Amino acid sequence: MTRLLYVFFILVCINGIFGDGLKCKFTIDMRLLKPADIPTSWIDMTDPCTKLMESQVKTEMEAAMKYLAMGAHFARDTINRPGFSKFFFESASEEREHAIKIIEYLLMRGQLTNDVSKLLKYPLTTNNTNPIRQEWNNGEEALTDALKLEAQVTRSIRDIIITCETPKTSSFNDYHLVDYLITDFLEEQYKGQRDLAGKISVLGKMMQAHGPLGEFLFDKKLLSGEV
Amino acid sequence: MLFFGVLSLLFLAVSGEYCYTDIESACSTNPKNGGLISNCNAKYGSIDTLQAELQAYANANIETSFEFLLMSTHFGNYEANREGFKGLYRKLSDKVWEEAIDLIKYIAHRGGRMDLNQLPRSKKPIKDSKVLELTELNSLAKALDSQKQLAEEALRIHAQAQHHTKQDAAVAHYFEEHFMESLSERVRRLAGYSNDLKNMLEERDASLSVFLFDEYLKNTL
Repeated sequence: MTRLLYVFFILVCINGIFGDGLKCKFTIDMRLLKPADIPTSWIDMTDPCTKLMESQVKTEMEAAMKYLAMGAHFARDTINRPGFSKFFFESASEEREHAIKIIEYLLMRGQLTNDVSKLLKYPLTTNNTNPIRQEWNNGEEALTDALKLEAQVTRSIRDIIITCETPKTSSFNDYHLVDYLITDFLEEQYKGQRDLAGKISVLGKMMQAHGPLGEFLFDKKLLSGEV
Repeated sequence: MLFFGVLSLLFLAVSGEYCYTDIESACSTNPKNGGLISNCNAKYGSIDTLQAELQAYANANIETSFEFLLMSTHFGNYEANREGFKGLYRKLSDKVWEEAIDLIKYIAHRGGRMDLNQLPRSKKPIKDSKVLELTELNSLAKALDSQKQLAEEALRIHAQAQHHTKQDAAVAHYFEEHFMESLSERVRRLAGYSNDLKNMLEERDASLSVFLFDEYLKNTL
């Protein structure tokens, strides 16, 4: 009986090697052999610049996760701030879109041809040492946190601009990338920050005098998009 | 006397579970528990026992969404350059991300709370699952496995919600409505793709088959 099984096992192996194996091996080789001979002279991003752009993907996604935590907190039954929750959930998806925009830009410039897995690892932060904050005392505190987060992201984009404009390793000024970051990203960052600061100002004044009533009113305005 | 003692104890035990009594106590001249109204929540059924499972499942969806995004990225580079595959995985990533957010909202809806630091329950089945630069066929196989894993996990949670000693048909229903149909549809589609492409690779010129298949994928998006 065992001998029979043994023979059967060998047959299966042979089939695996000479059967489908050959055809599938061909597709695997397609990855090993370069499919076409493409010159690389058009790929001109400098290394330190590329590295910072790649880590920006993670920075944007981390911001998305922080906003997710805020959205989840304000959706809770005992917190019940649907306006804040909606605002933060939308911000989370926006941050994810930013990460994708950076990826698209890098792809356009001929980057990300290997090791894409290191762009994002789940979980993004090691949960034991640096857990995501998941509770806030009120809406004002969360908005303040969000503004600080945005300021951090803005600084990190500015750092990329500085490095890509004057990289230490060469004299290559990446005009296009810098222009893209300024017109597409910094523009949105500064507008977003101004918007958050304005919201904190309105909410802060109302909460000073009226506490939960101010927060309640502001939340409903936020939900209907009136503030 | 003893009877009254037992009765008042029972009353105390019962009163601890109602929002109304909490409110009465909190608004009385001498508030107990520091005026807290801990029973005024949206919890009922077995949400407390299922909460950790739901959190882990939401996080598993986020993890899968990241993976699909990276697979899409790989096919978007100039060497791979497969618009169809890129679009397919990007769409899957978007969908799974949205489903994660929706589940987070549902947890809150049932009086629970999301924990983004809770790790997904399921471990990735393939040992080199972190490698995401795949050939076209391998990527389909990986996508199929990963969607199937989410589908199995959804079935497991559904069964737990349905057959739990304290049944929670609401959670079971949520899973039926939001995961069962869409996951089975995606699993079937990916299985079909895997088989189609595998069969087409039997042609001598595989590069042309992959090109045509990629074009087909692009048109179905």
